[in-house]
Amino acid sequence: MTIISYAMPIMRGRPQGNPMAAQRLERFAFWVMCLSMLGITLALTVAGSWQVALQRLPESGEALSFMATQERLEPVFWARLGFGVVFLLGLVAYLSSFFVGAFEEEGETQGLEGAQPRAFATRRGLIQRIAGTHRRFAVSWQDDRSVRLPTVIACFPDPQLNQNLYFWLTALAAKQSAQPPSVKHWFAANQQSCLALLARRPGLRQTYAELVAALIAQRPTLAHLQGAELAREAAIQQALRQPGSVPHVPLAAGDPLPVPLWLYPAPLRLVAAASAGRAR
Amino acid sequence: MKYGSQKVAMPYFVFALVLFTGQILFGLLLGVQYVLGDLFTPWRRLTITPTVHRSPLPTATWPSLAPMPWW
Repeated sequence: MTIISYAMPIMRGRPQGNPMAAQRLERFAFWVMCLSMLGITLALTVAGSWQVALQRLPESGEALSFMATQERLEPVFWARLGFGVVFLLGLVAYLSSFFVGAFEEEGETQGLEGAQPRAFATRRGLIQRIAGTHRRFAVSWQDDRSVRLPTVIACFPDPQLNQNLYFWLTALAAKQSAQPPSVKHWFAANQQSCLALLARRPGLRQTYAELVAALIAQRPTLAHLQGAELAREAAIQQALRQPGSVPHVPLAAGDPLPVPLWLYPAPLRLVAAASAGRAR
Repeated sequence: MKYGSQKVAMPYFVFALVLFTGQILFGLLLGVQYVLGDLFTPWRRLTITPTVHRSPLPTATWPSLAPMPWW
């Protein structure tokens, strides 16, 4: 049933899972079924112990016969039946959760969810390789269903900056259209929406400048890079300082270190699933 | 879904849920038979209900069982 819960929404054309209401109902059903199953088991445990106490432990003569014992145990069997009925309710809730929200997906407002880390092929130093870090990063992205922000942001030593980064990302997500930018135009699209957001909300300019200064201070130093990677990192830092000034990101091996100030395209797995759904 | 052929799992899942529902219903029937033993007196088969409850698949797939009263 776990596999069905996971796979059914994907097979029915919802690559990012069921809507929230359906998931709430499903969790409720899960707990109802688990707890009532536990209740059935415990009721039978009680019945078994009681049966031994009535039928086996007493000296012969005082012990009850099998049928008489079963009659004495009847309340426990009623309790078990009650738990069984509760289980059936849980099953009905589980089955109905597949149909919740099937008709109201249009026009649903965007929610807020945590972003799962995804793999980036960044250049890692020796210590990072030994520690096994810097392989996966939780980057922000959004689609029709929700804005996905990292569940934890600890980019900067100053907590205020980290909090401001959340505000910035939320504002940027509201500025961009809900459709995630394509991988091809992602670099320019982020700069354009940064530019538009700063023009529309001048109060964010200082925050943005602080975030960029703090971010560039911890990105790879240009003096330590060479070749295509130098050109790419220089373009990214330039695009951060002056959004809209760099039309294309130069190609280089691997992925650049993720930019936490930008919104990323949807994960490739989901893109493939969505296009497969459309193709049908 | 990475491959469209993964859709073959769909009927399997649906049938598994149908079987599971049958399992629960027969379990409830069994629970009732424990406390109200005389309820289904003319038809009840206390030997069949537990079997169906434990494994509904043979009952659902074996048409020769169809004329039997599944109580």
